[in-house]
Amino acid sequence: MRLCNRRALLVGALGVAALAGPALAHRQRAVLTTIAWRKGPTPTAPQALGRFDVVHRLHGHDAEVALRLAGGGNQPLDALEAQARLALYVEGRFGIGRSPTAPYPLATLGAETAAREVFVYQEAVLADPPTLLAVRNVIMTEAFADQINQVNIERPQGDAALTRSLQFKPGEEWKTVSLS
Amino acid sequence: MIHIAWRAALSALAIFATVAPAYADAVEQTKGNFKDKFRQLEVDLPSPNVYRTASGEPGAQYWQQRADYTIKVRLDEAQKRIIGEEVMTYTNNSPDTLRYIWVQLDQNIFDNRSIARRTELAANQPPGRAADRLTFGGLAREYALRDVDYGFDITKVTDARGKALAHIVVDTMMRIDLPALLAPKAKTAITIGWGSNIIEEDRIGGRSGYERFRDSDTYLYFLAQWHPRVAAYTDYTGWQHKAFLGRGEFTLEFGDYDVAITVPADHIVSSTGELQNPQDVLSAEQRTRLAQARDAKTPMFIVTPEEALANEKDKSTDEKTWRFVAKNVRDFAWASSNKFIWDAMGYRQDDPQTPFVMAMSFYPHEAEPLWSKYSTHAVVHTMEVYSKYSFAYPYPTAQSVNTWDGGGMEYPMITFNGSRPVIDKKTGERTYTQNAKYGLIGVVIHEIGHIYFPMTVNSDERQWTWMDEGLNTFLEYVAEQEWEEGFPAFGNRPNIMDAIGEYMRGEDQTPIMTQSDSIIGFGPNGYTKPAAGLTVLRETIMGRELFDFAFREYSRRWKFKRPTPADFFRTMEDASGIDLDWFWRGWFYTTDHVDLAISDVREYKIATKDPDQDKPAERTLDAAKFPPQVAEARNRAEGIQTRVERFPELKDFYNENDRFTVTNKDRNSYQSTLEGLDEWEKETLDRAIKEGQFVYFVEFENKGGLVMPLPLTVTYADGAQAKETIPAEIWRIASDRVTKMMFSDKPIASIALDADHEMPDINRADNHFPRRIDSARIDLFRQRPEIRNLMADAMTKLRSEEKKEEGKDVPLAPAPPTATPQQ
Ligand SMILES: [Zn+2]
Repeated sequence: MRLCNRRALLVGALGVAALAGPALAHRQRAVLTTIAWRKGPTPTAPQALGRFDVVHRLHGHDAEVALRLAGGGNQPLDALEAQARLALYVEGRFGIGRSPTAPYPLATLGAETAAREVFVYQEAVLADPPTLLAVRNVIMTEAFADQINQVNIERPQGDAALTRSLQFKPGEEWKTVSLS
Repeated sequence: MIHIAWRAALSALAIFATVAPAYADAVEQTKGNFKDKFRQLEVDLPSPNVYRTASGEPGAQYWQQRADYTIKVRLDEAQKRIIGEEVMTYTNNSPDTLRYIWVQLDQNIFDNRSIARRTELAANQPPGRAADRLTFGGLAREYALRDVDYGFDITKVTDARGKALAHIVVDTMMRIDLPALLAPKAKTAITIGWGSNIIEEDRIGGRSGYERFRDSDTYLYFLAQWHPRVAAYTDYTGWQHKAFLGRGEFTLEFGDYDVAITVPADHIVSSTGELQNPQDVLSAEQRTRLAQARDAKTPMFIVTPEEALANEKDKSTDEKTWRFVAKNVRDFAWASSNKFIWDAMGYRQDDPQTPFVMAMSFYPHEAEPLWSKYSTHAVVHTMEVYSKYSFAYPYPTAQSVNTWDGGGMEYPMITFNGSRPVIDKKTGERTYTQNAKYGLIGVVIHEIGHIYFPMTVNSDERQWTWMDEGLNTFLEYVAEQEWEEGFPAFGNRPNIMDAIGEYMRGEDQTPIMTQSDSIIGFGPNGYTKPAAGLTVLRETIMGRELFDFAFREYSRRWKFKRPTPADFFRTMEDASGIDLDWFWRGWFYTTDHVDLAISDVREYKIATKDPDQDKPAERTLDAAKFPPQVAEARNRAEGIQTRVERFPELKDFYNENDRFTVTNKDRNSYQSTLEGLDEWEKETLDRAIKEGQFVYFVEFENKGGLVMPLPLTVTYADGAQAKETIPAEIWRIASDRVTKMMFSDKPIASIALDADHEMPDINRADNHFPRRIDSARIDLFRQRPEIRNLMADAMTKLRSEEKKEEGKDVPLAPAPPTATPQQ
C-alpha cells in the first residue's frame, strides 16, 4: 500500500485518524514545524536573552491550498502578498505557551519561498527556556480530514540533537511536551 | 563525614536511575560506559532449523500451504453488491495434521460489530470537553456505515459432497471445522457462498469499494479482499489469524485462480490474471488493437477516450461474464466500470518462463490527460528496473487502474493508483500539478513494485510492514532515479538522506522491528527509514556490486516463498561476506540517528631530532606564530633609536643568539640519542625525514548513536581533492569518540565529513574542519532587513483588513434535559 502521497512517508502518523476510517488514508497532507531554543539577541529582538525560533515548512501544493483558505486566491506563491497572507494564516493556527492558557507572544517575521516549498518564520522571546511546552497546530486541519502536522522541538538543554515530536490531526488542539 | 559522603553517593545513584534505567543489557553495561554496538545478532535472531537455515535460505524441509480457488461472482450494480460462490482447494503441505482451517473475512471490518469499528476513537485530543469535535466527513461516514449492512453474509459452507460444515465467525476470521482430519500432504475442497455490500470508498475509507462521480452519476468499482481467503499457516507462527484492524495488511498462500466475473454489458473489467474469453466480451476492433499493442513502442488505446465517454452514457441492463485465470498468485483483485479508457503496451524480457508481459492502464476520463501519458510507461519502467535488481517479472500482465485521487494499493498483476488532474478555476481547463505528475509516476512504480515484494517474495505484512514497504520503497527510489535525474521522490526532495533525518532525530518513534499495528509514524518508519538504510548499505557500506548480488540472492531464494526478517538479515551477510550485524542492530532495532562530527584536527611534521635542522625550522614557525610588535615598527618609523643601538657596548652573547641557536650541548645530546636508537628505528626515522610527510590526528565524534562509516573529502593546500571512506568498524572499541591518524605528502587545507549527503546526518554544521559558519534559514531571513520590512508592511495591511474565518465543523449544542433517559 502507498500512503496517499510522498509526504506521508516523512511525517509520522500517530495511529490512523479515527475519522478517515480504519484503513488507509488517501490525500494526506502534512506541515513540518521545527521549534529550536536559541540563546542571545537577534536583529529582530536586540534585547532578547533567548528565544524560540519557529520554522514552518509547507509544500508548494499545500501552500496553494492554504493561500486559498487565507483568502489569497490563486496568486503565485512568490508574490509578497501571498507570502504575507500565508504567514498570517499560519499565525492564526499555531501557538506555543507555558500552558494552553498561558501562550507566549509569538512574533511572525514573515515567509519566503524556496525550492517549491514555503517557509514561515516566527519567534518567541523568553528569558529562560521552559521545562514544559504547550503547542497548538491546526494549520490546514480544517481543509483535509487526514491532515497530519508534525512538530519537532529541539530540547533546550544539552545536546540539540535530542528532539521531541508531536503530531496533530484534525480535531486536536493543545498538546504539552516535557523538555527536561 | 562518612554519613554525608554516603548520602551524596546515594542521591547521585538515584538521579542516575531515573535517567537511565539500570537493567542489564548485553549492548549497554550497567557499570562503565562500554556500548557494544558490534555485538553479534545471532543471539537475538530465531534459532535456525530445518525450515530456515542459519545462512538465511529456505531449509531442507521448508514447506508452505497451497490454496486454489474457482470462483463465480456477480456485480449487482443497482444494489452495489457482489454475490459469489467459491470452491477452495486447500493442500496441507505442513508436517501437522489439521482439524480446522481459518478463513479471512476482511469485509467484516466494516461491520458495526467489528473490533475495528467498536474501538475507533473519538476526535478529542487532549481528552476533555474543549476538544470534542465532529467533522462533516466523520458524520457522513457514520451515516454511511449506519445505512447499509457491511461485511460478509455467509450463505453456504460445505464440503466437496455438499455436506454443510460447522463454522464460526470470529470478527474478521472464520473457523471451518473439517469433516475429517487433514493429514500432511492431503487436500480438501470447501465451497463457500456469500454476498456482501460494496462500500463507498470515498466516504468510508478502505482499500477497495466503489467511487461515485456526482456530476455524471457514474460509478467505478474496484474489488479487493472481496472473497473468503484462507489464512496463512506457517512454520513460525501457526495460523496467522490476528484480527484485521486496518493497518497490518495481509498474509496469504499461493495458488491458482479461475474466476468468472459477471458485470453489466457496458463495463470493461481489469483483473488479476489473463482474460480467457476475449471473443465473448471484447469487440473485434478491440481484439485487433490488443494484438497490435503487443508490439507497440508507446501505449496504444484499446478503448479510446471517446469510446469510454460514449460507454458511460449507455446504461446497459444486459450482463457479460469475463473469465480470468491466474497461476501461482497469493491474491486476486479486479475493477469494473463503464467509464474505463484502456491503453496497453507489450513488454518483452529475457526470461524463458515469462518472455512477454502486457502492461495496461484503465482510467476514467477524469484522469486525463495525465494517465495516458504516464501510467503505462511507468508500469513498463518498473518492470525494467526491478527485474535488474531482483528477478524477471513473474506474471503475464501488469496493470495500473485509477481508482482514486491519491495513494495506491497492490495486488498480483493489478494495482489501484491515485493522482488526478484538477480543473483550473479561471480557465476551466483541466491541468495537472507537478505534484500530481510525480505522485502518479511514483505511486505506479511503488504499486507495480509490490508485485515483486510482497506479492512474489511473500513476506508477512500483518507482522512486519518494513519487509514489503521498506524493501519496495528502496527499489522504488532506485527506479525513480532511473526515471529522471532530480526526481522529487520524498516530499519534493530528491535525496532520501535529506528527507529522513528529521524523523530519525525525534524521540517519539519506535524501532523498525516493531509489529505493524504498533508502529508510531507508519510512513517514515515502515517505508522511508528502511529504504534509506538499504540505500546507505548499497552506496556507502557494501558498494553496489556486493549489495546488488546479495539483494538479488535474497529475492531469488524467497521468490514464491515466505521470508522472515532473520532470513533477510542473514542472506545479505551470507551472500556479501560482510558482517552487517552492527548495521541491523542500530538501524532496525534502535531509534538512534546519524549525527557525526569532526571535533578536532591537529597537524604535525616528523621532527628529525637533529638540532641543526629542527631549531631553524622552529624559529621560522615561531616567527610565523608571533609577528613583530606594531610598536617597534612605529618606533622605527618615528626614528627612535634604542639604547642598545646607541650604546653598542651593551651587547653580549644573548644579543647575537636566541633560544633557537644550536649549541654544542644540543649536538652532543643528538648524537647520544642517535646512538640510543636501534637500527630499525634509525631507518624509520631516516625514511620519515626523507619523505617529509605531514601527520594529522583527526578526532571524530558520534553524537547520534548510530555507528556509520566516515566518508571523507580531503582538500589539500594546493586545491587538489581526495575522497576516502573509513569503515564503520572504526567505532568498535569506542562508539562515541575516536582519533584517526592520517599521513599526507602535502598540507591539508580542510576535511569534510559526508560532503555528498550519503547519510542522513542531522547536523552538518560540525562536519567540516575548519568549522563552517552554517546559519539556520531563519537567521538568514533575519539578516535581510529590506525583505523583512516589506513583509512586515504587507502583514500590517492585511491585518487591518482582517477577515472572519469560516467554521467547517458540524455545530454541536448541549443536549436538552429531555434527551436523558428517565430512571
Ligand atoms: Zn506499499
